[in-house]
Amino acid sequence: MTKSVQSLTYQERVYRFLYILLFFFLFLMGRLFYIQILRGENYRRVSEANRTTLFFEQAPRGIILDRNGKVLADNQPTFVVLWMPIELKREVLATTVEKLSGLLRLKEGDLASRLRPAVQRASLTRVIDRVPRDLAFSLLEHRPDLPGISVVTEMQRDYPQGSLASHLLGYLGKVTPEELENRLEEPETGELHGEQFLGKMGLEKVYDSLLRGRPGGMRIEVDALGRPLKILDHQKPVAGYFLKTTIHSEIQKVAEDALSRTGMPGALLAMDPRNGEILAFVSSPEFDPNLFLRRGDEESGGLSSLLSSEEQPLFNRAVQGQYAPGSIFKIVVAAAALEGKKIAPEQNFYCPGYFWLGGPGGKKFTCWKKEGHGSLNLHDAIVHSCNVYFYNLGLRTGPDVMETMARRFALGSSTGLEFPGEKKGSIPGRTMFKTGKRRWFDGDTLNMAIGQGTILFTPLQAIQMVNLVATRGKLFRPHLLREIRNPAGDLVQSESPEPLEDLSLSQETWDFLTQSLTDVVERGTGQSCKIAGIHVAGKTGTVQNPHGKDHAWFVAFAPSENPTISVSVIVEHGVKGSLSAAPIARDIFLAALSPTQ
Amino acid sequence: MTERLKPHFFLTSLRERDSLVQKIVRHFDWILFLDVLALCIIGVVMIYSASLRLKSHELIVSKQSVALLVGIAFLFLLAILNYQVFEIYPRPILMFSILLLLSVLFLGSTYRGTRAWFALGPFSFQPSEVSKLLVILVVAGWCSQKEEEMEYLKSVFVPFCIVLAHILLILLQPDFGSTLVYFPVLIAILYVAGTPSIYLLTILFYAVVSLGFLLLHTGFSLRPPLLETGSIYSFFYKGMKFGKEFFWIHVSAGSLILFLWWFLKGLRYRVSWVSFLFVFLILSVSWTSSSYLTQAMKGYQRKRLMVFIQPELDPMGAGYHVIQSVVALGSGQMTGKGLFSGTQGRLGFLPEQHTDFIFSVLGEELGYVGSSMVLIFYMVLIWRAFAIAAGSRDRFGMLTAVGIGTMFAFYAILNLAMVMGFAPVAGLPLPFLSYGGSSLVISLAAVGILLSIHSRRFTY
Repeated sequence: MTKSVQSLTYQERVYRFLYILLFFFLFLMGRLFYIQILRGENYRRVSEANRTTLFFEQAPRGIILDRNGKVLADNQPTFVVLWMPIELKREVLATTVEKLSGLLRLKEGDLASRLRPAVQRASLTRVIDRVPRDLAFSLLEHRPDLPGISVVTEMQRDYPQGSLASHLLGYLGKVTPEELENRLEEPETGELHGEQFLGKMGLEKVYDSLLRGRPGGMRIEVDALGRPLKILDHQKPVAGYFLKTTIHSEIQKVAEDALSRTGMPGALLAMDPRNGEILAFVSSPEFDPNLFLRRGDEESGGLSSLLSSEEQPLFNRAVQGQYAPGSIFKIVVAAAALEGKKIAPEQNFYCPGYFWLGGPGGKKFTCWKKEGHGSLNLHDAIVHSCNVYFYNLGLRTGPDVMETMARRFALGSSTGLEFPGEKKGSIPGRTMFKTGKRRWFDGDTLNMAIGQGTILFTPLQAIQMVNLVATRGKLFRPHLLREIRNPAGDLVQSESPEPLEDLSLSQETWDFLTQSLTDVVERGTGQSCKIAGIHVAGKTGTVQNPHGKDHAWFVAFAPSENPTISVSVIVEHGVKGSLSAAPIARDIFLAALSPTQ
Repeated sequence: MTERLKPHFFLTSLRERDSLVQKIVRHFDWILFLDVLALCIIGVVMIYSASLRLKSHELIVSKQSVALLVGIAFLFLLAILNYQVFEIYPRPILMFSILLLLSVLFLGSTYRGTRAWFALGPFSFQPSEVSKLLVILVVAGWCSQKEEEMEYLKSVFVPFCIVLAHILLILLQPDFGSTLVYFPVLIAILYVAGTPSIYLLTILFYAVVSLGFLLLHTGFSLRPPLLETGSIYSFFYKGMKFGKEFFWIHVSAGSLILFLWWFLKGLRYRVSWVSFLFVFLILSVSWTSSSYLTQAMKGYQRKRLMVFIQPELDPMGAGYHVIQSVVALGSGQMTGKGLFSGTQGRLGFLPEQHTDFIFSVLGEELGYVGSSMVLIFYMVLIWRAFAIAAGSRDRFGMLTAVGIGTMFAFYAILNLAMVMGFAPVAGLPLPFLSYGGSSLVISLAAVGILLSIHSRRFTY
């Protein structure tokens, strides 16, 4: 018989070994706790995502209305072709693709490449969006020969007015991989889906998260190979919020027609100076945002010509175009001179049609009127837009005072419109040459005094400048949105005027400016904007353009006693403000203030 | 006295009047038995759940049930049989074990590239599972008879050779995963038997160095820039194959050790040259065996190792299994998704869901409550095994119980670590839970031996 073991040391060894092993188990228990309790929520979500695939259904985007409730963007039922490749054999697939390509008038190769991922993953796929009605019906007729194909309707974005207010509305596009990565989940709109359309420009982009709604669809259970097993539930899509804009669609229409009649690119803004509401927002040429939503070969031609056009229709000139202001800057120069007490309004200067500047950088500076204006005071110099008077005035006032006043007129900085990509323009000054080799010369002062050279405005800044004159120093943030309503129609949010910093000038200066600008239209350079029965105050501008014909500016407000609307127009290559820009403003005032109404 | 020297084969004590059944009931370790029975039943239920989506669902469940019945029969048989019988005949047991492993190499049927099974009609039988238990018995028997001589090299060398022979035979199948269990079992038995720690450290050193080189080799192959010709890494990398680099590494390691010996001698430290030779031999042997392993490893095994080192390497391939397993476990949360309604397993996201990854299915369907309960069952099992070892009446029983307990613990810990994403996918089953007849029968038989040791703890 073997010796019996009573030795304690053996038992100690046994237990010591046991404790080591139990320690491992406790460690695993802790790991289990971490995985299942602490991180369980997370893994539950991963496993849910594993087992389900969403057959996605677009939510109707929120409707965009003008200030009177007229529809600018809504949704139309469209036909969508779906394909569910369940237990499809190779031969069946080939004949289906062949038939389908014939019916859809698509190339077989294109269609096959569109269907390939669906075949590989055996998942439900959208074959084509926005199928024309006749095509949809012929597909339905042939359905017995097309296994797996189904046609459903879905509400999709539509712009009933075509290109009207296209730069305001913007356009939609398929979500890009980067967007998918960066904005995976948002509380309001749910998870972003690869089939989803997002706003890429304009209001569609700015208020995308409001407009988008919450997409719905069928949750389908799939196995590890992605094969659909059963439908779990169906989630109704939730429509996006309604946006009521400040736009007045009649004024908008008039403005677009008038601008397009010139045949030149340009921009126009109309605002209510009393509260900052934008009534018209035009950048010409316009584009049809519906083009971005269509698929198929026959329409994409329109889109590609849009994208390749030399006039750059997608460029939003109203907030991104930067132009030298020309003579419309004289409003600021006059205000600077008067407020700085550099001149009395009665002071006369003689205009022979040119101005000789001596000293370094000196040369002959001309007036637009070659024969000269003769002797005239400040009021008449504004009315007739005399450059020589303003050369003298500029030299007396000096660049620093002019620059300060321009900045007080909210120029050279963004206006605070909710649009992305707004340009800031530029106001030159002596500081800009401090570091470089070049100095500020008197010639620069002269150029600045008549709004030429390195000074730049956007049309939106120009209208804010004239709004200040109209309201005598009260400025509001320009905005495009009046109300946000939920799909049921309840008010969610309404915008109220948001005052910006006031510009306080003396009453005499305001009076003088209003009177002078009114006389510009009554008997000066802006006569082509004259309207019987209404006093319009305005200022023309012409921008020297080394690359072609001069650009034409006109800024105005009316009625000048109690302004309710202001306008700024720029027509590229419009030659002269008085010729091309001012008549457009007249159309706007007629439409807005029509004496018959 | 003479009567005592001869062990009873069965419980046929004449001194006590109790019947066999009474005796078994009185000294039976009910905790261990019920614990194991609970694990087995949970196992069958979970295999039922995990195989629901498979075509061979019914076959799998019925085969496992048959194995369970056979296993329980073995359990009772071995519980009644006096375990000391295995001590008397170590040689036939060893011969039988070696013969089994040899014959499967020639007569066995091949499945997934591994020749490890004997086909018996609808059932198949894996000899390496039997060998594990037999090796425990043989090694425990050897060590129990060398009580006073455990410090001799020979006492350690013989068990080491027995284990090495088995490992080699199993590697020839080739089945890498099954060989792993031998090291911890050997170390546990030797440790408890009182082997000086220097020997244990040597074995540990050998195992760590050879596995470490294996991992290092895999790690190198993941970073090709390191392996540009001429770099020291590429030299070592090439040295993993039998070639001139292999030879030079040995020469340089040998001369380094020789230099160290000479240096210490110069400092008048008296260290025997034998220990230096010993260090060199261990290094050489472990280097050689890891070189052998790197070449014997199959593509998928190499990939698993790589993925273990760098899981993001292959999130949809081999790394996918581990990720999906952790997702399955975690998604069970506190109370689970309900029996038979786990999605990860049912929809095929888990690989090997009824064998190696059965615990993931369990964790998904029964949650933390269920999975920690199973963990506690395993802890009870290990505790009982070691308590039986400590309370055993002889050295053989103690060492056998320690070996069996270590075997269970090793399998459970490695499998659980694997499904929790802590260890490479080594293909080790979870005892009592994973599908696999041979494993279940042998595990139950091992429990039978434990019960036998326990019920004879007072018999003198």
